[in-house]
Amino acid sequence: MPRTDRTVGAVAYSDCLIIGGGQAGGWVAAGLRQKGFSGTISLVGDEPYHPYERPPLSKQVLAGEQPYESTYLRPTSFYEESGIGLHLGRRAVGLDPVQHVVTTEDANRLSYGKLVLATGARPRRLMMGRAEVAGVYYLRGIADMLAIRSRLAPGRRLVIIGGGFIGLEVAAVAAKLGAEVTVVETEDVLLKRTTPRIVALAVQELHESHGVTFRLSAKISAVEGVGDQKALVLDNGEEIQADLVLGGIGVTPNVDLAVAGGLRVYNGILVDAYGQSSVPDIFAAGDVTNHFNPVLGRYIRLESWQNAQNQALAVAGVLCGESAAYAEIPWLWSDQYNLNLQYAGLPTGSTGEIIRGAPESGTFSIFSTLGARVIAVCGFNAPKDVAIGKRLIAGAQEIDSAKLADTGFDLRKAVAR
Amino acid sequence: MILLCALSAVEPELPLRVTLVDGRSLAIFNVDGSIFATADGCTHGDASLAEGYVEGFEVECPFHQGRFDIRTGAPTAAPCTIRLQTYPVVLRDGSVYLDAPD
Repeated sequence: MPRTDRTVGAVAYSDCLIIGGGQAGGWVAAGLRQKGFSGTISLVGDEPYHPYERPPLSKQVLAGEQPYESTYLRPTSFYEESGIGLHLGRRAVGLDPVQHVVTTEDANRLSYGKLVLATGARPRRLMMGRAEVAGVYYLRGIADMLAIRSRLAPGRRLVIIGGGFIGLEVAAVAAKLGAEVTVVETEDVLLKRTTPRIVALAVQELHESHGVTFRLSAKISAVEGVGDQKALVLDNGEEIQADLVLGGIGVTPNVDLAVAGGLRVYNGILVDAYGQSSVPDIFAAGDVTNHFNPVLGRYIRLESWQNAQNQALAVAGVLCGESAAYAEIPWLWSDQYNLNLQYAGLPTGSTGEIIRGAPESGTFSIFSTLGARVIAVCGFNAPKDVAIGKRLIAGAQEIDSAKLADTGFDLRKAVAR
Repeated sequence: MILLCALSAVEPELPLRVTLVDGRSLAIFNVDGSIFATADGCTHGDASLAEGYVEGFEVECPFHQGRFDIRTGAPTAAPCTIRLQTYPVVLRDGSVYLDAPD
């Protein structure tokens, strides 16, 4: 039964309270209204910006090709028009699930009927021993992007710690802007956690053709210097001078509030396929969740645009009485220069790899198989193969590997209908 | 009327891209024998919808997997938000024509 907006003592009540003003939080709010939720909705975000998508922050927006406002999920007027109360620039620090109350840093008490935690993740910090290295930049939010962008210029020496998606996307933008870019990676190959080796090598070659240099299998043994200017000493004794150091070494889910509320947490907030946490009336969505995925039959924590949007929409649906689980094949993309990299599925446990197209041609994909079934696909400038691959994975159908490898065969015909 | 293609050239799973003399590119779809034409370029990214995946009356863009309703051009899945141009077609003697002045 929808309740009207009311205030109990000094406590502001919302039928649905959302913590987190990123893509997931924004989509929970918008999704609730789309699906007909008639109760009161409030959203608390610690950034001063309206809910936005992060992917362009390491691409077009960092390059200065688009303003950061272009990342907003909705026009700023949408929230007032939709009866969604925004509390931006405020951090939630306390959670009492018995009283159904969230406390903010500025000591406001917000009570709720249902609570959705969409608190996201934060960049892992570069440590030397037990101490965080000062003066290292990280890219997560708009403020981070602005700080980095203002320091990128032709000839600037940018050293990026970590050869993952964020590091490589920033490397691509910085190289195009004329910066001298060095990427330091502890593994012997880029994108090791996610990417078939042959694709990773093609990515590295692309960056090198744009003047980016790599130090692979390299550990940092010391970082010297104060402020932005640093000297990085590698374990082989090499010293690299930097005008700017960016850390891109992964993220940590923001589980602090969940822990404060006694929710079950393991590598993120544990939720089921409906976004329900271990505590009644508390849900979670987006990067912060370690959620059960019925398609994969396992728990997974994803840091992706797809998950931030669609898990949030699924939770909004559940709060509106729908009964659909969030059950999707994981899918993500990265843009670097003119390269579009896409992934679907998880290659963990694969027994074979089928290559479609020639790496030299600049367009190819790798299908990871388990027996005669496709379980993952990675496309190098081959988004079509990934779109089809996603369906082959979902259908768990047996596939003729010769057809997969034959670029003369249109894969759209391979999907069982 | 402008001749677009032979009806037999548009297979159900495989939309056809046709470029007009004025430079516009169209995607021609066959859904259970019904023929539809839309602009070929996605309104979100730089992608050809003729290379997309057709499911029912929806086409999924191959680039970011946004979707459009082939009949109306309405965006039906994020990140697409801008309507796609649709074009009226006429079937005659085994050919597909754009219903427009020559």
